[in-house]
Amino acid sequence: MNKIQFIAELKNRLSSLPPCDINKFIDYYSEMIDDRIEDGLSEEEAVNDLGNIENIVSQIFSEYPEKTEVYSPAEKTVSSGKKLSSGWIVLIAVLTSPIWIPLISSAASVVFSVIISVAAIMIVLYALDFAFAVCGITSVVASIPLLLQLEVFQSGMCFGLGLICIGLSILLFFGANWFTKQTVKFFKYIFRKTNELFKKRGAAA
Amino acid sequence: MDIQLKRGLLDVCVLAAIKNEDSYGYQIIKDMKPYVDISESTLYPILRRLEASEFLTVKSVEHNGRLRKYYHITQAGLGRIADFKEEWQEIMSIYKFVTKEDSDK
Repeated sequence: MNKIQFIAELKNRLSSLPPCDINKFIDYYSEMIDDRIEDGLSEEEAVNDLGNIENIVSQIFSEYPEKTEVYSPAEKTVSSGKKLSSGWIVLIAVLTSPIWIPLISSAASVVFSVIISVAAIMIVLYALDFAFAVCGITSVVASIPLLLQLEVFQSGMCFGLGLICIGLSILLFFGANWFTKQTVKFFKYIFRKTNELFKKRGAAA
Repeated sequence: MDIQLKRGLLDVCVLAAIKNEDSYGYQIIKDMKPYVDISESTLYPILRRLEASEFLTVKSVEHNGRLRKYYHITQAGLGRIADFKEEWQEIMSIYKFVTKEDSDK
């Protein structure tokens, strides 16, 4: 039996079920066949590997409808410990707002100022880099007319200083890039950690 | 084995199979094979039951031009595994009690 025949047979035998449930079973079994084929089995082998269609259908009917029996330990796991009703939580939140609003706002302003300072450092690094680059290029260019005026000493100094500036700007560029990357990494890490913390708390509540 | 007991055990096995990373039906069966043989038709109601109990969530992901369902364990699912470990201690002490009767004879 190939996949199409199997699916048709299954559809036929499940025809007494609601159409949306039939489709779920068909999706499930065709995924299983496809995954077996991907694993190196031929189409026929994949279908045979699922076992007798008779057994499959009888098992489907014996377990149907599966959704009626929901696990009771789920309740236990989720709501272990005393739970406050949402009304109380709101009341407590409102009554304690003179404490937590200033706390949260000051925490937020600290975080904000840290972000701004770090951003400022980044901007300064790049600005400095840009300044070195402009300075270096200008000095190198300026050394040319000086040379033409036969001011050899001044031209040489200008050229040399220009090269030093350009060199510094290249080094600083890598430095600034490194700093930016590290900072982004750091903030991503912090963000992920806080996210996890909130998720854990949300799940525990 | 008692059907109810086996069903409960298989539920925890499936949760354990997706505990470390999201997995899909055939992979779950393959991962469980060395420990317990489970057929597709047995796995299906377990997955539906675990989903209805919010022990796992289902996500369809495109794979080689078709959809494959990936199962992701929830916090409640992890809690179920933890509960199982606790319950097992109890079962072990019952087992000890039962086998003690045997050896006394």
